[in-house]
Amino acid sequence: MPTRSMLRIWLVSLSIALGAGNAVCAADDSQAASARLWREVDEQISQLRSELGFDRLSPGVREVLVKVPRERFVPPGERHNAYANEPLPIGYGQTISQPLIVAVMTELLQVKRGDRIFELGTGSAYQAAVLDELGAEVYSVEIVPELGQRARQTLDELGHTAVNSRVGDGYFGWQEVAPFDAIIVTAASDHIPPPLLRQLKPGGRMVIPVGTRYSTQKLVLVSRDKRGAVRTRELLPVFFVPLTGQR
Amino acid sequence: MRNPAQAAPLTAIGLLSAATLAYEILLTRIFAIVHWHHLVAIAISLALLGYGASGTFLALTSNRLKAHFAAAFVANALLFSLSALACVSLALHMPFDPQALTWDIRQLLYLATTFLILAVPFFAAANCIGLALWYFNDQIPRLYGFDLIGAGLGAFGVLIGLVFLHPGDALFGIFVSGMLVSIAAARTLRWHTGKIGTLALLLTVACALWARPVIQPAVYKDLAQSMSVFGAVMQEQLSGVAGTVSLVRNDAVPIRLAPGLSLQAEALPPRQLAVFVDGDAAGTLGDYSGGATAQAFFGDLVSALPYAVRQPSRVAILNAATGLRVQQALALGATAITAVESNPELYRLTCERYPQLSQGICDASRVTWQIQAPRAFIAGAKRKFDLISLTSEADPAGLDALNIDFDLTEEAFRAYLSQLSAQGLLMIEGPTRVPPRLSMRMLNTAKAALTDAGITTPARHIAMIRAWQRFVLLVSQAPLQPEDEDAIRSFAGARGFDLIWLPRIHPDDANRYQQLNEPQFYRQAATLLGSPLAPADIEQRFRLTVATDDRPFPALSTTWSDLWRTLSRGDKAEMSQLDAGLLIGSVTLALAGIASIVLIALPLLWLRPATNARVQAGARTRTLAYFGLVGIAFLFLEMAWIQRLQLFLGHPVYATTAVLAAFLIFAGLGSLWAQRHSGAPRGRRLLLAVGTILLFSLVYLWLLPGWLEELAGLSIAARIAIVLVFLAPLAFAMGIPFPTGLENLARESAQLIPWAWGINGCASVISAAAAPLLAAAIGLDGLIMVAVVAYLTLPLIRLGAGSA
Repeated sequence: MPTRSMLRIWLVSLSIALGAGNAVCAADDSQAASARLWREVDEQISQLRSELGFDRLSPGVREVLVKVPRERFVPPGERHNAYANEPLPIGYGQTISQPLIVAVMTELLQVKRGDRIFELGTGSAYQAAVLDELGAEVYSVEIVPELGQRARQTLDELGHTAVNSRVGDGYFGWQEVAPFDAIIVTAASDHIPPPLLRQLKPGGRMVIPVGTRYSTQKLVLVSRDKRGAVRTRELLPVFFVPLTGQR
Repeated sequence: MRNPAQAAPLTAIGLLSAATLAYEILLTRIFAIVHWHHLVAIAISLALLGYGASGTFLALTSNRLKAHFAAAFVANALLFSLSALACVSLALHMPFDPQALTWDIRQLLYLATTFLILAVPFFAAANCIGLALWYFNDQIPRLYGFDLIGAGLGAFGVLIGLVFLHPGDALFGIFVSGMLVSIAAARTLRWHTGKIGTLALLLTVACALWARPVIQPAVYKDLAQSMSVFGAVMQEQLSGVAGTVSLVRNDAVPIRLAPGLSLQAEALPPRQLAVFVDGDAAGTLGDYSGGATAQAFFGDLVSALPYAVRQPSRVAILNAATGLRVQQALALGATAITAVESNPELYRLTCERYPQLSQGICDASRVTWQIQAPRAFIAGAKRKFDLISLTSEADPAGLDALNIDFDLTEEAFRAYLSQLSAQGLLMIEGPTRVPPRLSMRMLNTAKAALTDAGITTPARHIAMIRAWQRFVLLVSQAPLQPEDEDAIRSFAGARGFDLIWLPRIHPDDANRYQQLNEPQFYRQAATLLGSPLAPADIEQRFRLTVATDDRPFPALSTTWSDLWRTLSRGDKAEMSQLDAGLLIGSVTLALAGIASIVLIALPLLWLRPATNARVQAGARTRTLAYFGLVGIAFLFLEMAWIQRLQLFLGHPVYATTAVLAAFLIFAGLGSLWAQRHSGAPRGRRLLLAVGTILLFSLVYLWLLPGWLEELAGLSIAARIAIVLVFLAPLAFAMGIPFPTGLENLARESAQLIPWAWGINGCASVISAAAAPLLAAAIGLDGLIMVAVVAYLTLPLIRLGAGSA
């Protein structure tokens, strides 16, 4: 069967050529894709100015978002999509958030260097890395052990060793270091855990995506005034990972 | 040529049809556990896709297969048996996630692959039946009769099986049945394989026993997610017809359910054990007893509103599940509580297996449990209630858009209102979504029910508030008084709940605590209730029409025009606002259409030149029209009655089983009757059948709902028997047109029989997938009338005429 043999040789040669090409181009492609992604996010934020109350990311936040390599936080099989403006599965029914949402949530938190921030739901650890890069003191809890361990490993590999993370129950926040300047809940819930509200400093900000599974959800900004009264403001619709379990 | 020593494999046909129907019903249970729970249409569509593809396959290969009939029959029976196990295994490994459908194109591929894989067993079974019909074409009605009666018995077999067996074990039973079919067929057809064949068969059974699939929820489902959490332990699983109930304990990361908890709440929910039905969260078991703490916790849930307005003593909690609302009623002072739950396994878990976990709710002196559907309970209730409470857990992303729910229709609301005391309250609690949808449909439905009850100012009887992702609608038998409104304002204000509607609400009262960019809930409510303060320019993108028993889809909010416009634009943000269930229904219909065309219609077109010399185009067209209409009409009637009778039978599995069994058994008898009267003019027989279908459809449309309401309190066995009796004459008549048409073809254009079989299958596949969408568009009565019109057209088509 000479025809079949020739075809096989041709296919093998082609795949080797493409593979080599891919290796050389990967870094450049990644940078270009990243640049495209953040330009797209800039445009979307500009379009959403009436819902968000701001029309662009602050320079510090944007710089950090460009700097943190999203492809290192997604599973190998999804790396080709790392710079698509979409949530991606990371296993265990969880996702890494859409870049637009990470950007908006980070901006809403108004992070200042040295702020103490609690994160409920470490997931891929991408959000924690972004906050760490902004100079915040990050405390993050994950309830799925495999995800928590993988997140710790990724954070260490990328030099985010200052991020405090643990596997366990995040319902009670992180009592030992509370209160927090900001709280970010990267997984939806059927109610806001009262202990978390109590661990938010007066004047502090909590960002929480709400709804249930499959849902187009709202990003909610929760604020607690100086007298302790809690109010919420709903922002843009967003796909988000559900809070594991029924809390 | 046919071997004269061979008898028709009637037993094998009957057993195979039983196993196939059992597999079809079992698929709905497997879908419910693995993915989501209302996939009756997909399961039926899959079955029919297999049948349709088989018709085409036989049309292309039957001459060759006919020469080896016995081997082909046995081989296909074996393929059915093996693929029933293997294909479910493969489908379970497909990473389909409906949540990702709008942003991940691969999900379409996963869904399509699942669809095709699961059709393989039906394809194999249909090959057996189709081959037998062609090989023994002088016994068509008899074979058809055994096929349908077997299928009907299979439906009941699997229903009984599911009482005792987990769906995975029931699937293995279907595999074994397929093996028995092979053995029975080999004996009847005198096809001997010797000891090697027997040994191979035994080895296959042993391998299957070892490698049978484990039916477990997909990774995104509540149960799978809970089990992935650090410290989760599966405490217990109970399996029943109405679902598999799982109890999960987690001491390290305890579950805490508190839907609609105030943002100002101080008291925490206690540690709970999570309860799931078919992998979906169904409630929790936890000890809330603790006097003041319990009272504070339950008083801070939005569902405490009616207890703050009046002090209801006699309370009915509908869809009580594991009793969270029952505990609330106890904590807030109700003295006589009736808890109504239709799933017996939930009651068994709560009050028989773990009564110590939820103290008080199983105390017979204060709580009476009724294991029945809410509508059936209300229809038979002998006394009035101060409060009737009902919670909807419709998925806020609209996954339940095509789910039948007779508890939230105008007729249901009327029934609830009729059972309220003079100062009684009806409370509907559910999830909110922005822009508002389910909440506003419920408001509109309540308004319609009040108007029907003769109340001229329904807006004065309604109050509505919202909390963290929940709404509560309060409908009062008597007009709400100023002191009632004060109590509602005080309750909501103290807990940070927002007012949506009060008879004397001012626009500034709304949207204070959980702020939206605009007070959308208030504006919609004011518009629907005809308030003079309502804005004139309100946008009505979503369906807010009244849900009725004819269109019992309260969770459906996407309009057809919106669906079309959004899909044609392809904008993902816009698509995320569509009801996920409607999207999946539409995708399924598209897949069914494509699969039908590729697997059934295109091969038949390819076949065309081969028979063109012998059969004129007109005969082919008439065959297409006749068998296409029979497929459409049969499936539309079947689907319409499956959906309509869920109200009477209380659960989709019961309705699917009873209706499929009734239609298949009595349609089978109709087929046998057709054989007995084969000497009579076929046209007259067809007219008689069509006339009967018309008569009974009209009578049932007008009279059956009233009759069934009277009988709703009977046991499930009695109700299934009643359904069989009612549907018998209709189904009997529906069994006549198909074999009558085949008989015509057998005499005049026999080569068109496989073609007719394929066309019928193709129409049926599309009809099964289209029926839920059409029912949502034109109502269940409309669906029945379309089917009746299709049947009425049949006598106008002259089959067989024009053959060479």
